[in-house]
Amino acid sequence: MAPATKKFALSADLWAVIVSLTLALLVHLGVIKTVAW
Amino acid sequence: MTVATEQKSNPLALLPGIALLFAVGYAGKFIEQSIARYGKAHHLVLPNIEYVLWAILIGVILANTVGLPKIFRAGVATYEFWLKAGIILLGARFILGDILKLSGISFVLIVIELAMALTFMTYLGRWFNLRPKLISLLAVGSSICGVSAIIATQGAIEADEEDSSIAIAAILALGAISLVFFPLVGHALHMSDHAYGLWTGLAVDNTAEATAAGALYSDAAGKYAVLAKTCRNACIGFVVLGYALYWARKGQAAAIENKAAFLWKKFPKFVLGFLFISLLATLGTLDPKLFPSLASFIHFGFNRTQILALGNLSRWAFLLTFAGVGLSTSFKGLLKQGIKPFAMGAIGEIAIAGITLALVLAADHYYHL
Repeated sequence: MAPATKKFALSADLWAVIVSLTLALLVHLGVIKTVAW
Repeated sequence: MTVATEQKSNPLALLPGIALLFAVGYAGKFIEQSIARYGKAHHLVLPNIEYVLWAILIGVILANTVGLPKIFRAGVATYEFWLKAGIILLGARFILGDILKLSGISFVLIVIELAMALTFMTYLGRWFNLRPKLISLLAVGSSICGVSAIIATQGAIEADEEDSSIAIAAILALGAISLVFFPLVGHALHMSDHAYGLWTGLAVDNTAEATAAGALYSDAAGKYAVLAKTCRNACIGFVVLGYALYWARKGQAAAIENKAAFLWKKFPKFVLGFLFISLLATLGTLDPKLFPSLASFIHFGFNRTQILALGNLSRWAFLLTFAGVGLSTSFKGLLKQGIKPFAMGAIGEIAIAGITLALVLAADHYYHL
């Protein structure tokens, strides 16, 4: 459990930043206009 | 092949698990909405049970009855990623000024919580006669931020894999229990969303469980819980560095040559993403007449529709996270850890929950949170 989590935890942090900022950019550019909940 | 290497070699291997996270999370949302619709149609006052609880419950039942087939495991393990993405996007729902104000109070309480929790857990571990490095891992896990802190500390102090697994299992078991007790205590004490969110952010160890425990109370409480927990996460590097230096001085861990590089390596980068999104959301709300010097930057900010869209993206990311929390909770795995670390963790957690509750109630009394 631990080694897999360790490797994943390190990459998940940066991946989350990259994916979230990309989504935010798409929203800002109007590519994603509305998101329903 | 480990989950991580499998995922790195083939990202498609993640899809079945992510689809399962979505199915479980959406089922939770569907149940919540169905109950509300039924109550409305039949003029009944039914308790509003948030989708968070349904998603976690469905996940726990699935994981502990039929089990999680291998094909889903890599994708389900991505819930930590969805959690961090959800937190970053949640930054859109915070104005920077609010963050500074709230995190100011949070940081004061966090420093007190950290000092008391680390001291208490260390003495408690000695009293339970546990191995010294296991005590360090449990102290870090329960005082700062659960699994991530334990993993970071394990590498820094060169602790055994077994100690790390035991500490993680104890923290996860206690996190699952906190999902039941925190909302109950919050409702019993009629706590405000802000005070309750601050309390869960300070007292619940793992970020996913802290977010879920907050969201179980209300949407606003979930928001405050994330903010307080993010402040706590930001301190991880300092605490891990402290332990690394302590064990290095004892000759039982490698010496730290560059402390600044060490701090940066351990610093959770998603905190910066959260602040950046919040900065853009704040820029978008500024009136150019009131802030003429910032007028040329305001168009970089998000407008209200964009803030709403980002807030909803954050909610979808959290929906996947909560499903993952349930699907990753294995009672069998939690029982394997042995009674002593669990007992130490449980006593420590109850004490930390009590201390932080007193701190938050006092802050609420004097500063009207």
